Amino acid sequence: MRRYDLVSTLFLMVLAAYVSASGFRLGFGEWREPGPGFLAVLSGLALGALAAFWFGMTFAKPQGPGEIARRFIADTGGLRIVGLTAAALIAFALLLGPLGFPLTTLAFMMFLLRVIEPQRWGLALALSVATVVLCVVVFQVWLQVQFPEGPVSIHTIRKWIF
Amino acid sequence: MDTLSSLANGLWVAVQPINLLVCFVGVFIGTLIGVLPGIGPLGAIALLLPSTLYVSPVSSLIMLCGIYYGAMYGGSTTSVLLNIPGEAASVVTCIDGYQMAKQGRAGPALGISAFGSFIGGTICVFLLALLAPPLARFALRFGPPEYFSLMVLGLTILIYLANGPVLKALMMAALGLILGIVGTDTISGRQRFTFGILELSDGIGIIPVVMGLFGISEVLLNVEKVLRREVLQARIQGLLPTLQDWKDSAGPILRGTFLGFFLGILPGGGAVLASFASYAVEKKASKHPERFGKGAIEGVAGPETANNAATAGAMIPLLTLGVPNNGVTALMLGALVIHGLQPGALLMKEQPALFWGTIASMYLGNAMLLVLNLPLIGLWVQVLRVPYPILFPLILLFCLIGVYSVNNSVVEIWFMLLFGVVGYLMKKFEYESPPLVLALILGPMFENALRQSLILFDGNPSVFLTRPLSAVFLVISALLLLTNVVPWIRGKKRLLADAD
Repeated sequence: MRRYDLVSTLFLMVLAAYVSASGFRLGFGEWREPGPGFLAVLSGLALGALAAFWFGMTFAKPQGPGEIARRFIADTGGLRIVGLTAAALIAFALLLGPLGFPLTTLAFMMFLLRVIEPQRWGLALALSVATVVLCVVVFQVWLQVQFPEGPVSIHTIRKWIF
Repeated sequence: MDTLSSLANGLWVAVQPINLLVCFVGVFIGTLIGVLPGIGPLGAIALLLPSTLYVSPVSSLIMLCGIYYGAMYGGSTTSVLLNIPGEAASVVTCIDGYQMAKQGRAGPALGISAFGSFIGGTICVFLLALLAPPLARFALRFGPPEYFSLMVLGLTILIYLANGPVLKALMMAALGLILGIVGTDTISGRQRFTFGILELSDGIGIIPVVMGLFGISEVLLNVEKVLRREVLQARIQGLLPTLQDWKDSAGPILRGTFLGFFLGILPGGGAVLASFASYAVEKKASKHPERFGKGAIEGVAGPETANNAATAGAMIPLLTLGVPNNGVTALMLGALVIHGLQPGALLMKEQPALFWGTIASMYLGNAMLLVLNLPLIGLWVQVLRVPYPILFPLILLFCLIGVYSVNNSVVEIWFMLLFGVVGYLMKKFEYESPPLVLALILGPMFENALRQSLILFDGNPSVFLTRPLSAVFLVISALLLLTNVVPWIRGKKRLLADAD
C-alpha cells in the first residue's frame, strides 16, 4: 500500500498545483469580492496540503514487518479480463457512431459473452440478439432515445420485414 | 391536523398510476439489486439515474426511494440463502438467518424479514411525517452562511463515514469540489477548466461521474475475480412465521423500528449501523443469548426491521435540510438537482406534492415489498442462479445506454469511461467515491453560498463563526473530524515511536 500511497499523493499534489495556478490565472479576486478562481485556489491548496501531509506520513512510515507488497491485480488472468472489458467499452464508444446502435450492441454483447468466460455460441448469440431487440424496443421505440442509426437501423429492419 | 391533511394529499399523489408504477419498479429493482451480491443500492441508483429523467421529479424520487428500501429487504434473501450479504446492511442477518436456513427454516427467516421490514417501514413513515415539518420550518431561518456551514457539515458526515483514513476522504472531497468548479462561472460568466469542450461548459454531468465511479468501476473489480456462489438447495416452504416466531419477534421488531429510525436520522448512522446495533440490543435483551448465532429468529427480525426503518430516518435530513447522510441519499440529492430542484428547507413549502408524495409512497412501497417478496421468493432464488459472466455485460450495456440517453451524446460515454477507470483506480488505491460525488453535487451550491456570504458580509470570513447556527454546524463538523483524525494521528505517532 505504501507505494500506491506515494504514487497517488504525488499525482494529487501535481493536480492541486495545476488547479491552484489555474485558479490564480482565472482570478482569485478579493475576500470581499471573490473571483471565478477563488474556490479553485482554496480547494487546490487544501488538496495539495492534504496530499503533501499524507505523502510525508507515508514516506516517514517504516515498512511494517508483516506488510507484503500487494499486487495490483491478484492474478494475470484478472488483468487480462479487466483489459478486455475496458477494451470492449472503448470499442463501443468508438463504433457507436459509424456502426449504429443495433450492430454495436450485438458485437459488444457477443464479445463479452464469448471472451470473458466463454459461453456456448448458441447461448451467446441468442442472448445478444434478445438484448438488442429488447433495448431497441424499450429505449429506441418506447423511450425515443435517438441512437446513431448506422447501416442496420430500426428503419432498415422494418423495411426488411414489411 | 396539517400533517395529516398533507399526508392525505401526498397519498393522492402517490396513488397516481404513474407513481404506483414507478414505486413498483423501484421496489422490484431494489429487491433484485439487493438479492444480487456485488451491486449495492448505491450502484443501482447510479445506474438508474438517467431513467429518472423520463418521469417527473416526484416519480423519480419515489422510484429511487423504492430502490433504497427494496435493496434493504432484498439483501436479506442472499444473507439467509447464501450466507453472503446482498448489501452491507444485511451482513448481520447472515449470522442467524443462514443458520435458520440450514435448519430448514429459511421460509420463516425470509417471512419475518419481510413482515419486520413492512412493520418498521410503515411506523417510520408516520414518524417521518411528524418530524420533518418542524425541522423544515426551523431550516427556513438559514441564510447563505448557514447553508455554507450546513454543506460543510454534510461533507464532513460523509467523510466521517468513510471506511478508510479520514485524510484520504478529505482529499476526495477537495477533488470533488474542484470537479464541481468545471464549467461556466455563474457570476462572471468565465469558462473554467473546460479545455474548449462544449459539453463541459454546463459543468461535469453528475450521471457520467456517478455511473463511472459506481457502475463501471464496480464491474471492472468484479470481473477480476468472478463471484462463485452456491445457493442453498433446500426447498423453501412455510414462509409465514409460527405463533411462537411472532412472540419471539414482536419485541425485536418494535425495538428495531425505533432504533433504526433514530440511527438513520443521525449523522454517521444509517442502515448498516442500525442493523448491527439492533443485533447487539437483541442479544443483550434476550433471556437466551446463547441461541444467537445458532438460528435465533430475533437475530433476523430486529436487524432486518432496523435497516428498513433507517432508510426512512435517512430521508429526514435530505428532505428537510438538503443534507444527505450517506452515499445513497447523496445520489438522491443529485437526482433532485438534475431535475432543477433545490433540496432543503424550502422543498416542503415549494414542492409539497414531491415532499408528501414521496413520504406516502414509502408506505405503499413497503406494502408492495411485502406482497412482492413473499410469493416471489422462488423467482429471487432463480435470479441468484444467473451466473455473473452473463449478468455483467448487461450491467455494462445498461450503463452505456443510460449515460448516452441523457443528452444523446457519445462524449458523455467517454466521461463515464474516464470516471470508470478513475473509480477503479480509486478502489485499488483505497480512496472512497462518496465524498467526491457529494462534493461534486454540492460544489456549485457550496461555491455560491461561500461567495454570497463573503460579498454580503464585506469579505469577513468570521461571519461563519459569529452567526450562531452556522457556528454550531461548523463546531459539529470540527468535532466529527477531530474524533476521527486525533486517534489516527496518535496511532501513527505510536507506530513511528515503535520503529525508533
